[in-house]
Amino acid sequence: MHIVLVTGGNTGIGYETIKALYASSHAYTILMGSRSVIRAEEAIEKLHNELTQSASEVSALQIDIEDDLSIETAFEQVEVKWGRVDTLINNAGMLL
Amino acid sequence: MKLKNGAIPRIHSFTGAAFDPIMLSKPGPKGIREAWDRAYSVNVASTQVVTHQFIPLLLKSANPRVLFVTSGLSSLATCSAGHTSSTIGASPFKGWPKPNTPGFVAYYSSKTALNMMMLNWKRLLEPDGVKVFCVSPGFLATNLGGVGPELLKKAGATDPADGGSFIRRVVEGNRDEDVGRVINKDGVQPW
Repeated sequence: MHIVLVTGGNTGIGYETIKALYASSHAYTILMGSRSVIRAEEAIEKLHNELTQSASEVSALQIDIEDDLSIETAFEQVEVKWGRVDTLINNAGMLL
Repeated sequence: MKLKNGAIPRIHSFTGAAFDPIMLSKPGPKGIREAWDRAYSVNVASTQVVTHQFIPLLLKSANPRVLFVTSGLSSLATCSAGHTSSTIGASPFKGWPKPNTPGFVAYYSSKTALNMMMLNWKRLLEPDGVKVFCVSPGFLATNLGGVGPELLKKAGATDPADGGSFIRRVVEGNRDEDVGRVINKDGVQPW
């Protein structure tokens, strides 16, 4: 099981990366990092509709990379539930 | 082209003070500070915190990787050779103030800083066997900047799915010979 965490994964390049992993024949546990759990859940629903079959699973992980408490909480959730991260993709970013 | 606040920017055919979009709605020092502070806060400092905090979980992996998503225009070599974005172009006119054109300089600068950050993680995590990369997915039609994918497509942006499949290949170990570099789908991006 290859555990991948993508920050800013609900939209843009983060979403497309998750989609590409989800479409792969490899089995991934994909953590879709998102500031908003609701937007992540909507993105996951969209993903399930676009790709009905997959060897992988995706779940929403609330993480606002500008918020230390959010990062700490996300770490604890991942630690408790999965115990490790195999690939961290620092994708969340902003152009203002 | 309309921005979020409904303003229509003056786009000149020549280049000048390459701005980040927030500087249109907030001209002068306020806009400059916001663009530069936010770009570095999100793209650099926050990324550094996240990476730092997640290291213990990465060290529990048998085959850990850390990817930093950067930009094609974060390359000092590329930009110093005069190859900038399609929205910047050649030398500015003499005089001040310079005509305003979009250039996203704070954003690109922050991504150059991100490339530097990656090098430090590569050095630090090499003894632990963590493979570290910057990935430069290309100019893709996403919602970056808030102007919408359609406008970006008109400026030459391609399908974001290409970025996704490239990053997937890195995740799957297809670019492990390029650890510690800024890579794109065609090879290695110059510093």
